[in-house]
Amino acid sequence: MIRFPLVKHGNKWILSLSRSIYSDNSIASLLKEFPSLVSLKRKSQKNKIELLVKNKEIHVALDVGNFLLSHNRSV
Amino acid sequence: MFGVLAIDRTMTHRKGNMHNIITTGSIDGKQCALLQVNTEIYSLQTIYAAGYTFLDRAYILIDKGKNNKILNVMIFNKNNGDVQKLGMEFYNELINYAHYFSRVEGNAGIIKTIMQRVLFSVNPKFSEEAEEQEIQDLLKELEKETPKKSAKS
Repeated sequence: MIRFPLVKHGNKWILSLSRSIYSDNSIASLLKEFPSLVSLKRKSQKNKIELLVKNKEIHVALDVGNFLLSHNRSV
Repeated sequence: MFGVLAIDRTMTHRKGNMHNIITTGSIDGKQCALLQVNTEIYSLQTIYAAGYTFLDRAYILIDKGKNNKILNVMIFNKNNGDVQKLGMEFYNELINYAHYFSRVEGNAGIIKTIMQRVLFSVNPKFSEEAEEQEIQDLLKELEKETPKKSAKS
């Protein structure tokens, strides 16, 4: 069994991210850039952060991951 | 909270102590490759750089593995192509950037010298200041040397 950070939740996706990999800055930029698409769900663990992606398409949730990676790289 | 990746069992066979480093599977019908990357070999900076080159043709998710040394990298092909091939290309890209960063670190001194030269050629003031500093340093050295020589004689 492999733990996977992306879970479908009805018509939404929950993205569980490690804070040591995705910086707080990049997550803050994402929330600022797409406030209607992404919201902060809750902190499940100390080192994790959960994002709720309000779209049923998987590629939209995956695009969120790409946005965070590109922001991490550019900072 | 974590989902479970449906694993393609044919890709996870083991032989002795060796096991496949790329696992393929699917989530919501979308094929993906799961790569395990050792952070003792490849830095996080290298993993970011390699992932960045794939952003136009793949979706990348990075997560911590079971222990702190291993990172799981999940790659989804944007065009529904061969994800295993994409995974292999990712490993190549890791090598490429690991080499690049090690060279940059090794050549840091030379790069600094070249950059200083370039800046000096653009602004002569920098060059004059550096020359002045060099002269002052030489004069100080001479002053230190002179009493010793006179003492000997």
